[in-house]
Amino acid sequence: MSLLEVKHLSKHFPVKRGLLSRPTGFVQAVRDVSFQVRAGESYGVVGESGSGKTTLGRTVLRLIDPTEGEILFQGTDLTRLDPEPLRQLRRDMQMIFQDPHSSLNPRKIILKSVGEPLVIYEGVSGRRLADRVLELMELVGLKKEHMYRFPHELSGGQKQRVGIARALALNPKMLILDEPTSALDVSVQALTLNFLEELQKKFSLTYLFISHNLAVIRYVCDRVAVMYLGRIVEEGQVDELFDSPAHPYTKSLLSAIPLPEPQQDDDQVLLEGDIPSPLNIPSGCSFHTRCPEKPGEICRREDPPLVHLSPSHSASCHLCGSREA
Amino acid sequence: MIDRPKGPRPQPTGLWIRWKEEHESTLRNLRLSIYLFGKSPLSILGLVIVAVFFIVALIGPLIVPFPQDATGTVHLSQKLMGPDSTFWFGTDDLGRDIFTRVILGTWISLKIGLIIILIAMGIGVPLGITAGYVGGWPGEVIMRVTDMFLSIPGRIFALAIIGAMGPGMTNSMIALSIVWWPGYVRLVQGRTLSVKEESFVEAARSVGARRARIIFHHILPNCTSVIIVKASMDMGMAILAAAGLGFIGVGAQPPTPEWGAMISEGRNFLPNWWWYATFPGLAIFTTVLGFNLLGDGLRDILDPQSRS
Amino acid sequence: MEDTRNILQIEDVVVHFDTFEGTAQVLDGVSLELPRGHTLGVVGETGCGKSITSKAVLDLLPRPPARVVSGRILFDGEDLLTKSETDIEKIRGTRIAMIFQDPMTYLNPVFRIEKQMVDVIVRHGVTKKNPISRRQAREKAVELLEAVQIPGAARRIREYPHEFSGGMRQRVLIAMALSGQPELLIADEPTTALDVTIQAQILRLLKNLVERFNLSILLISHDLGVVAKLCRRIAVMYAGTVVETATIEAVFSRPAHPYTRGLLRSIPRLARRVDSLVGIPGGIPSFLDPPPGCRFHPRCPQAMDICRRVKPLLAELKPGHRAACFLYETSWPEGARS
Repeated sequence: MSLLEVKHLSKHFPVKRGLLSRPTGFVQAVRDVSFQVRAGESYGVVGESGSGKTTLGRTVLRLIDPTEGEILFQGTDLTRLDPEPLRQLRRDMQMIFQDPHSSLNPRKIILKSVGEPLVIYEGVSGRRLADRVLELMELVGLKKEHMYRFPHELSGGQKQRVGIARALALNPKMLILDEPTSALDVSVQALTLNFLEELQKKFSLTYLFISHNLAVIRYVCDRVAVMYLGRIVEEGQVDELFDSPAHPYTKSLLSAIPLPEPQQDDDQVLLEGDIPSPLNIPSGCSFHTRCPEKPGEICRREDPPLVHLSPSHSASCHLCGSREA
Repeated sequence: MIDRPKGPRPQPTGLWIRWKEEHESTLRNLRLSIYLFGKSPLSILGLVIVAVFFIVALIGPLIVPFPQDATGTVHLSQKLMGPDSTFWFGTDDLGRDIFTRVILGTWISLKIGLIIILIAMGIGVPLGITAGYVGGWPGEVIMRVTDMFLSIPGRIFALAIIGAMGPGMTNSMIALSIVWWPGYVRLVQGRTLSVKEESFVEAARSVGARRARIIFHHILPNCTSVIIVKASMDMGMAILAAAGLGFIGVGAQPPTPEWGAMISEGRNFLPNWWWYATFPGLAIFTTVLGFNLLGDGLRDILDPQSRS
Repeated sequence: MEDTRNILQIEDVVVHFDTFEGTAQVLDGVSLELPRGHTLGVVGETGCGKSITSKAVLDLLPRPPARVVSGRILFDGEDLLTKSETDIEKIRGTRIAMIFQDPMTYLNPVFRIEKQMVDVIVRHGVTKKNPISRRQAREKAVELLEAVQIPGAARRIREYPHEFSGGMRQRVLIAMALSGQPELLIADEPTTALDVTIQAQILRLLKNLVERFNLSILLISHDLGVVAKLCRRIAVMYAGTVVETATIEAVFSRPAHPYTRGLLRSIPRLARRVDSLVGIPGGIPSFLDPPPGCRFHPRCPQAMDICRRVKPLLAELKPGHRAACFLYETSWPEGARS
C-alpha cells in the first residue's frame, strides 16, 4: 500500500528577461518523475546539483506548485486541493530542512519555533504549550534549558534536532528529509542517523530521504532513486542497486565517491566536463554528453525507455537492456 | 506539631516565572550587545548626545531661566547683549534670551523629527513588506510609485509641497513625511525579499502558517534591525531638514523658537553679534552628529555579520 | 629538532582568541610535519582548529582577536612566526599558495579572469624581482589554465567568474595559486562545495599537479575519503591538538587514538552495509574552559584517571605513527614510564 504516489511530476521555472519580464527559457528542474513510497519504508532520492531532488521534495509537499503531474498522498491528490484542505493535510506530511542554521527564525526562542505548529493548528498556548514542547524536546534528546535559547546559541546538531522536534509536533505520518545531515560533522551525523532510525520505528514513520551522499542513503534507506537533470535514471532496492548498478551515471557516481580506505583509484570512472545546466538540457538521454559508455545515435535522439532489470530494480537507459543476463 | 499533608505547593505567580524563563536569553544577548556597543567610543558619544537631547527636550521647559522669551515678549533694552552670566548664550535683537530659546527649540526639534519618522515608517514599512512579500502587480505598483517619489530631490519636493500648502510647522512636518516614506519602502522591500527566501520561512509554511502569521512573526521581526538603524540616522537628518525649511522661513513661524528660523534671523547679525546664529547652529550640528554616531553604532552591533 | 626534509614543520603552536567571554584556547600545541614533495591531510570536525592552523602559516588570522602565544612554524627551515609583515607578503603566493573552500567568493565578480590572473602574475614577478610584462603574463595565464585542464583556455580567459561553473572556478583558483610557482600549496576544504563527480576530477587534478610540479600539499578537510584519495599521510585533529599522525593505510587499518577510531566508526560505508554506525556522543569542549588533561577525555570510552589530569604527549608508537594517548606508554611523561 503506497502512502505516497507521485505520477509524472514535472516542475519548470520560467526564466524572465527583458523589460516586460518575458520568459526566455525554462529551468526544467523536475521532468516526468514517477515513484511510490510504501508506508513505513525509507525511500531515498540521490543526485548532485541540478538533479532536481530538492525541488522534488518541496513539490511533493506542495511548497512549490508542480507544473504537471499528480501527487497522491493516502489517495488524495494534493495538486487539486484548495489551500485550506491542503493546510489540514500538511499535518501528516512534514519536512526537515537541510541547513540547520537558517531553518530556524533567528529572532525566536526555540520554544516558539517548535511550538509554532501547535499554536497554529491547535491553538495551544501558555503553560500547556511549554509542556508539550518540552515533551518534544526530550524526545529528540534536548533539555529544558535549550527551549529558552536562541538558535545561534545552539550547535548545528542541536539545531537539526530542533527541526526534527518541530516536524514531529503534529504526529505526521511522513517526513521529507532534505539533506538532514549534510551540514553536520560525521560523528554527529552518525548519532542523528541512528536517532532518525529509532524515531521511524517508534512512530511508524515513512521517510522520503533526499541526499547527495550515497553512503548515507545506503545506511538509512530501503529503496532509492537516482536522479540526473530532473529525471529518475535508476531506481531499486538499495542493496541491489548499490551492488549491481545498471545506469552509467549511477556507476560513475559510485566510483567517484572517495572512500575512507587506502586508495586504489585505477578503476575509477571519471566523468568529463561539468553537469549541464538545467536551462539547457541535452536532447535524448540527458546523460549522453558525459556518458563513459559509448553513447550511440539513439542516446542522442530518443528518451531512454524504462528497463526492468528485476521486479525491484529498473533503469532508464538505451544501453542497459541488451546487457542484462 | 501539626503534620500537614504535603500537597502541591501553589506556584508563585507562574506568569512571572515563565516570563523570566522566556526572556532570559534575550537579556543575555542584550548584555552582549551592550558590551559590543560600549567598545566604540564614538558610539557612546552618540548615545550620550542623543540622551542629553531627549532629556533637555523633555525637561527643558521646567528649567529655562526665561520661559516667557519663547512666546513673544520683547525687551528692547536688553537687545543684542553678548554671552554673560545671566544670558549664557546672549540675547537676540528683541532682547530675548537665546539660551532659553535654544533649549525650548530642542523640544520642537524632537517633536518634528519623531513625527516625520513615525509617519514615514508607518507608511513605508507596510508598503515595503507588501511589495516584498506579495510581489506581483501590487508590488510593482508600489515600487514604481516609490521610485517616482524618490526621483524628485527631497528638499525641492518638500518646498513644492509647502508652496502648495502654505508655511508653518505642521505643514513642514507633513511635507517632510511625504519626502521620507519612500526610503523605508525601498529598505524594507529589499530586506523582505531576502528574508522571504530563508529556510525558516519555508519551514513556517510547511507547519501551516498563513500569510499574516508569516509576515508578522517571521518577516517583520527580521526587518526591525535595519529599520532601527535607518530610523536613528534619519532622526538627525529629519531635524536638519526641518531646520532647513525653518531657515528659509517656511517652517515654524515666529515667535516659535525653532533652530532653523533662529539661524535665519541671526544671519543678519553676523559677524558682530555672532552668538545669535552660532548657538542654534551648534545645537543642530551636535544633534545631527549625535544621531548619526548612534545610528552607526547600532548598525555595528545589529548587523549579524559582525557577531561571530 | 629541525628536519630539512620537511618543507613545513609546525611545532607546538598555541593560539588564543580574546573574546567577550574570555580567552578561547583554540590551538593547544599543534605539531605537524610535511616532507617535501609529499601530501599531508589534516582531518578533523568543526572546531578542531584545522583551518586556524592553516591560516596561521600565512599569517591570515585576524589579529586581534587572535594571538599566537607560542610555538614555531618552520618553512624550509625558517620560522614564519618571527617574520615581519613585509617578509610574509613576499612569501604569500610565491612560495606558499593557498586555495579555499568557496571559489565564488574568492574571485572578483566584476573583472574578467584574464585581468585577475594577469594582475597576480605580474605582482609575483615584482616580488620575485623578475618582472614580467602583461603580455607575457597573459600567455603564462593561458598555459596555467591549460595545466588545470580548462578546455578552450585561450578563449575562456576573457570570461567573467559567473560564466564558469563551480568546478571550473576552483580550477581557476588553483591556476592562480600555481602562478607564483609555489613550493607549498595549502588547500582548505577545496572540494567541499563541489558535487561528487566534480570533486573527483579536482582531486585527480591535484594529484597530477603534485607529480608535475613537485608540489607539496597540505590538505585540510573534514572528509576522510577526500584525504585518503589525495594524501599519503594524515594528521587527525581534535579540539585544538593533533591526536594522531600516520600514513593513510595505518590510520585506516590500525587507528590508534580512540577519537580516530570513533570517527572511522561514524562514517557510513558504501561497499558493505554496516549495520550500525556508532557516533561519538557528547560535543566538542568549550575553548574558554577546556577540560584539563586530554581534551577528549569527557567523550572517550577508555578514559583513565591520568587522562583527566595530564595532557598526553604526541609520541611515536611505531615508526611513522604517532598518537597522543595514555593508552600508549610512549605518551606518558618521562619518568612515569615503567
